[in-house]
Amino acid sequence: MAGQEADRMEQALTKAIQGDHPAFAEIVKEHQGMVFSIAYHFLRNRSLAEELAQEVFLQLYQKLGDIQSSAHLTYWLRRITAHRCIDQGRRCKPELGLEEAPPQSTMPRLVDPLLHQHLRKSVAALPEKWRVMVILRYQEELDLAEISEVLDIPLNTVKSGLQRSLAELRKKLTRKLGGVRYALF
Amino acid sequence: MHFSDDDLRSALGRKEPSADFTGRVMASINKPQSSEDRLGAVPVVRVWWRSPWAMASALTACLLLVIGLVQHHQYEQREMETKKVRAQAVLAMRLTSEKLNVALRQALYPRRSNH
Repeated sequence: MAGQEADRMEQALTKAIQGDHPAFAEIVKEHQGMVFSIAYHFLRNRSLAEELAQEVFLQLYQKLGDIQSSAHLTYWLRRITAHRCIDQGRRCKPELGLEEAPPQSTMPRLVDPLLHQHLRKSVAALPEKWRVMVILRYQEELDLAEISEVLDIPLNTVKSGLQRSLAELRKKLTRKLGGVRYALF
Repeated sequence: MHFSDDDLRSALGRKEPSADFTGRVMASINKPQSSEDRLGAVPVVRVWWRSPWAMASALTACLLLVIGLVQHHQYEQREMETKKVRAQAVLAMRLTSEKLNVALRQALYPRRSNH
């Protein structure tokens, strides 16, 4: 099934490069969640994240000729989104939108929405490069070498950045939620 | 405060943009971009000079310019030659005229010889 999906994307990419707009729309639909989520978890503002995501896809449309495969496309999108997020983060502080209210919990007892909310807030308060490293690691499940390649940062810097980010998150959450341990079993 | 990797994965899970997101992206693509957006995207620089027609026109224009310059130079050369020849002819006529004047004076007012 994954193979069929990859083939479908390859075909859409080939057609999009030739100027087929519906094929490009298919590419956008396939990857919009990934691009938007990186931007949203970084900026913590839905409308800004959508604007950034839109600009990423416009840039993709102009650079379609440079894309060699569907795997390269995914790499390219992550890279451009991450760099744009860092640039945007340096220009202005992330605004906290209305999404901050904890959602109605329809989740199983093991998942704590309050913890997740505080985690998201704490991630959004990290320095830009650490923030994007955490998002790429835990949202996109990239390994350290892949993060290093996407961000053009040495591997050791990624390693230490992630370690320090997690330490910072633990410190912040301890301050916010006290010493209460959340049992996950 | 302990949290697991799974907590982070759940907290940072993928979200979808609004339902009309794809439509808005396609609408932007179909609309020409006029200026930088507020997120500071680099404006598209149309590389028009790389088209074959533009290059052919530029080469033709250069060629015509060179031919024009060469022809102008040749014309100037001819003009200078003509002026030189004219000046020489005028000088020759002036000399001839002076000699004729001398001869005429001698003919009209001969020197009287003392016997």
